[in-house]
Formats: sequence, structure tokens, C-alpha cells
Amino acid sequence: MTLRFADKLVFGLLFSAAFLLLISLLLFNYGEALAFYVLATTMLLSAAGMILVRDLIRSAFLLALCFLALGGLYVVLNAGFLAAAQILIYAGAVAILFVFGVMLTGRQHIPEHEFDFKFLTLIFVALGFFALLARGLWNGTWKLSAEPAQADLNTVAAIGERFFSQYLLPFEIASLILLMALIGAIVVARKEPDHERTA
Amino acid sequence: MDLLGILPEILVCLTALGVIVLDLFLDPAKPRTGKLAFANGLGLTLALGTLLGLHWGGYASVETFSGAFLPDLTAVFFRAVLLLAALLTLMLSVGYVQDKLRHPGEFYSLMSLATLGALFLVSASEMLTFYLSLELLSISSFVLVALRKTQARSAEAAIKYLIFGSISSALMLFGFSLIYGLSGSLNFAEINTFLHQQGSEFVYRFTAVEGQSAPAFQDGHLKIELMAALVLILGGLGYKIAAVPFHLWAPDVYEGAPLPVTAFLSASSKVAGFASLMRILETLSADVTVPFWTRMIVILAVLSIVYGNVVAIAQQNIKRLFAYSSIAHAGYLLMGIVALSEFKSRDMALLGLHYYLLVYVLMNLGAFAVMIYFAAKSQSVRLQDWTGLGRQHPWLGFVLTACLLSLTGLPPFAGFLGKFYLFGAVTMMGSQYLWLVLIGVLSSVVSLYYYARIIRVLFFGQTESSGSSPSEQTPPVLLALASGISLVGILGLFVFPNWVIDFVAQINQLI
Repeated sequence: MTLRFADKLVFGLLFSAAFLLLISLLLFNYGEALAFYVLATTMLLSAAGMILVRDLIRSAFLLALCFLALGGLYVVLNAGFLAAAQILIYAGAVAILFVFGVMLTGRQHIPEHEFDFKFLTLIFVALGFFALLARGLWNGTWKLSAEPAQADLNTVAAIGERFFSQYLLPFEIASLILLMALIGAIVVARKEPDHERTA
Repeated sequence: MDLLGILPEILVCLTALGVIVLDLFLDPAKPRTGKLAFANGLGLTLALGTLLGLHWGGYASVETFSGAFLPDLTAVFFRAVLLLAALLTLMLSVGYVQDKLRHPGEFYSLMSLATLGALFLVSASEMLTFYLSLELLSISSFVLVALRKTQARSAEAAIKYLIFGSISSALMLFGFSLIYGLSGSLNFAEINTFLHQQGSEFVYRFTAVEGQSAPAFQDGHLKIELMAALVLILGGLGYKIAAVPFHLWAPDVYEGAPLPVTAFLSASSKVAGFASLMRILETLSADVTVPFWTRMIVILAVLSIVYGNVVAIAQQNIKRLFAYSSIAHAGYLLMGIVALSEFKSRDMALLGLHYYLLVYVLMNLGAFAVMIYFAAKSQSVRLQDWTGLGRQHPWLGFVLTACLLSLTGLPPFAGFLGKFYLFGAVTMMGSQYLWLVLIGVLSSVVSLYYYARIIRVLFFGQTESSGSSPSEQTPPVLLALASGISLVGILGLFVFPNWVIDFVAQINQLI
């Protein structure tokens, strides 16, 4: 198996993300700010790379990297359970599912995007929208709690309690959404045998 | 925790699950027995009966589930309308599902689950429940649109719907997160209190004239964070109701979806969207925000009315025509939302919205019932292929004519009263909005042109030879029943609008 340079780059980035995660776990007593900026930069760069890279597989791995960095941010914020769920579900399952999807559907050639006036306009519109939102977020008067969240090891119990008391109804609706998505995915993706009655 | 309050929802949920399970035990060799449709209809009827029984039995409206679910009178009304719409959609879809769809069990089940999402949506009083039930409604709609798997157009429509839907719901979620960041609460009532108490902090004060005690927000602008939240939330809901800048999905999805699903999208989905829009705007209404969202809704309303009515003129495909007609109707209803913003026109606007949404469901589903039959007869949804069908099927032709005239807003039908209340509410706001009423009335005249074109083709079109005498064939019982219920509804509500008026008066008393 030979690895091209870009593959090495992507895998290297992945490993470095895992490394960063561990480091940030160790560092967050000393260098929360440092961990935050490193992870946030990684996340933004990998998200931008995911959109810009032409190859679908690399794009999917960059997405996984983005998810990992986001998980690291949750660690910095003392949301341990959320970080675990983020890494297990998004980095572990969703991104890998994308890779499988790309493998199964085959790599199709993505047509080159002409750099035309429309494209330029879209970029300006997006940038303008981003600038507006960023300004609002930067200057906004947000309701922030005074002290940082405690690194409580018992968050899972607290989350479970909330699920079955305060957020019972949304929790049940979410389970219905999952059931519905399951039924829907099977119906849509199922290959119809020919001997069944035809539509 | 109060399970009695969500008993109708529990019944609908059990129906959806029951239909899937029942589907396992049915003999696939005998697909046309209609047991699934019967089971589904039974469940929905029970749910509707339970809802009305609870209401008439004096069930008190209180927040339950830690403020997630608010079964107040408005919610009771819209839940009843949604269940009625689901029942009518079920009636008109039975024949189509048996003929054209491979998976009837899944169709009925997904339809019930989408209705369930809509039911929770109109009575949610907290953002998390609101968003999740909106997703339940949307995602099951995506699957329903994709259900005719042999048709490429169905798949195309589903993909478009999915992409537009996920982007707009992501934007709306971002808006919710901004509101949460500002107010620190997910609960609608608490957000409203917050905006009332501290809303003036979110205004730029440009002209701080000394010694003048006029409230500063009148010449200030909203700060960007609150403005962005409002724009994003209104955008997400504008997508759901197909108002104009967010309407791009509607024509293609209406055209590509199976006809009963188109009927469902145009009725249930729209009612749920408007009911939730009313509730969200009620939540976000404070002195500082009302002028801003009123301006936005006015723009959406004008664009929807003009664009929908003008583009509908050129349509030859009956499904696309109804897509544009539904965009135009979203515009009329948004005029009612505009009138919600002022105290003096509020009562009338509430009456108009409740009344028109109920009537809209009846007339639209009545029209779709007939259209499904005609489309099956002529094997086409192009208008010119329907020439003379009205003469062959006088009853159905009559019902379709009545529904179309009601959609136009002509007097012997309830659509007239609905538009009368909506336009009247806007008139009550004062002379600065009279131009909006003028646009509404003129566009209704334009809409008469394309609705009447359908009627002309049905009854007066030239046919080759055979189609002039009344046909011997009778339409399926359920379809005829659905069209009959719609006709009775739009005539009955015109003659006796008091039922809705009294109900809305009750709501106003509580406010």
C-alpha cells in the first residue's frame, strides 16, 4: 500500500488531532486559552479544507477532524459527556458513514467550478452575511453565567434526570424521529424485487 | 406530568405504530383490502374524538411537561384542524395508494407521524419541543415526497425538499440559539417576559434628544444580534409556509410528489407552519421587536401575493398551478399575521387566521380530492388533458368548481368570508396599510383568471367525441365523501361562521 503525499497529510492531521485532544485534556488546567485557540483554529481550517478539497474521501476525513476538534472544545468547556458523544457519534459514526457512502457510490468526477461573476457575487453575499453575524455575536450582550461550569464527573446522571423530567417530551419526540427516519430510510433505499406488484 | 393532555397525540402515535405492525400480518397477495387505511382512519378519528371530547368535557388548558406542551384553546383549534386535514387526506389517498404505491403501510404510518409532528408543533411552548416536532414533520414529509420510487421526478423533488429543508432548519436553529443566548431560556413565556423587560437594551439610540420623553426605540434600530435571530427564525418558518423568498422548493416539490402527498403538504404542513408562526411571533412580540417583524412580514406578504398570483397564470400543469396558488394564499394569510401586530386589529386578525386556515384546509383538500380522481381518469396532470371531464362527472366537477371559487374568494363560499376577515383586519390597522389590502384584492381578481381557466376547461372545453355525456362510472365512495365533506364545510362555514367566531372570542377573552 502506497500512500500519496496528500493521504499522508490527511492521516497526519487526524493523528495530530487525536494527539491534540489528549494534550488538551492534560493542559486544560494550565492552558485553557491555549487549548481553545489551537482547537478552534484546527476546527476552522479543517472545515474550510473539507469544502475546498476536491477529493471526497479527503473531504470526509477532514470533516472527521473538524468533529474531533469540536469534541476537544467541549472538553475545554467541561462538558465531558457531550465531548464523548460528539467523538463517538460524529467523528466515529457519521464521518465514517460518509466514507462508506463515498466508497459504495463510487467516486464521481466533480465538474470544475468556473470562476464567474455569479460565483463572486455569492462569495460577497456570504461574506457580508458572515460579517453581520460576526459583528452581532462580537458586540452582543449575552446572558453568560458568572462562573465557569464545574468539571463534574456526574454529568451523565444529571443529563439522564433531565431527560426523564424536564425534557421528557422532546426526548420522546426525538425517539419518534429516529423511528421515522429508520422506516423512511428503509422504504426509500430498499431495492424492489421484480416479482412484487409493480407501481 | 399530565398524560390526559396529550392523549390525542398518544393515539396518533399508536396508530402510526399499529399500521406498521398490521402491515406485517396482511396477506401480500391481496393488497387492495383497505384494512390499513381503515385502521389508520379509525385511529385518527379516535384521536379527533378524544381531542373534542376533552375540550367539551371542560379539560383545563394548562402547561404540562415542564412547560413543553401548552394545550390552550388555540392549540385545540389547530390540532382539530390538523386531525381533520389528516382524515380528509387519508380519504382522498386510499385509491391512489392502492393503485400507485408499493408500500401502503409505510405511507399511512409516515402520514400519521407527520401529523403527529404537526400536532406537537402547534402546541409546543418551548424551543426544543418546537424544533424537534418541526423536524418530525419535515423529515417524514421528505420521505413521503420520495415515496413514488419509479418516478425520477419524485426523487428529484425529495432531494430538493431535503436540501432546502435542512438549510432552512439549520438557519432557524441558529436563530433559536441566538435567542437562547440573549434570554437564557428556552421557554416561550420566559423569553416573552425577557423581551418585555429588557428589550430596550437591544436598540441603538441615534437621536437621543434631551428633554424629550418619547420612547427611544421609535427612532432606533434593533441591534444586530436580535435582528439576526428574528430574520433567521422567520426565514425558517417562511420556508415551511412557502412565503416568497423562501418558496423555491414549492413548485418542484408539489409537482414531483405523489398527489396525496401534495395535498398533505398544501394543507397540514401549511396549517402547522402558520399556527407555529403565530405562536413564535406571539413569543417574540415586545415593544422593540414588533415594528421590525411587522415590516418583514409585510414584505413577505406582498411578494408572496404578487409573485404567486402572477406566475400561476402561466402554469399548464395543475400541480404547479396549485403550488403557486398555495404561495399566494400564504401571502393572504401573512396579511392576517401583519394585523396581529396591533392591538386594535388583533381580535379580527385572530378570527381571520383561524377561520381562513380551517376553510383553506377544506377547500384545498376538496379540490385535491377531485383532482386525484381526474388525474387517475386522464392519466395526466396537464390542464389540457382534462377537457370535458367536468361534464362527464357532474358532481365532482361541481365540487371542484365550488372549491376553486372559494379559493378565489367569491361570495357563496367560505373563502369569501375568510378573505373578508383577513383584509378587514388589515383595514382596521389604519390607513397606512390600505395599499396592502388593495394589492390583496387586485390579486384576488387576477387569481380568478387562472382558477376560472380550470373551470372553463372542465365544462366548456372542446372534446373530440366521447366525453360529452355524463359518465356511468361513479367515483370511489371515500373520495366522494371527502369531496362532500369539503363542499358542506365551505358552504356551511359561509352560512354559519358563528361557530368559529364564538370559539375565537373565547380565546380573546382568555388573553
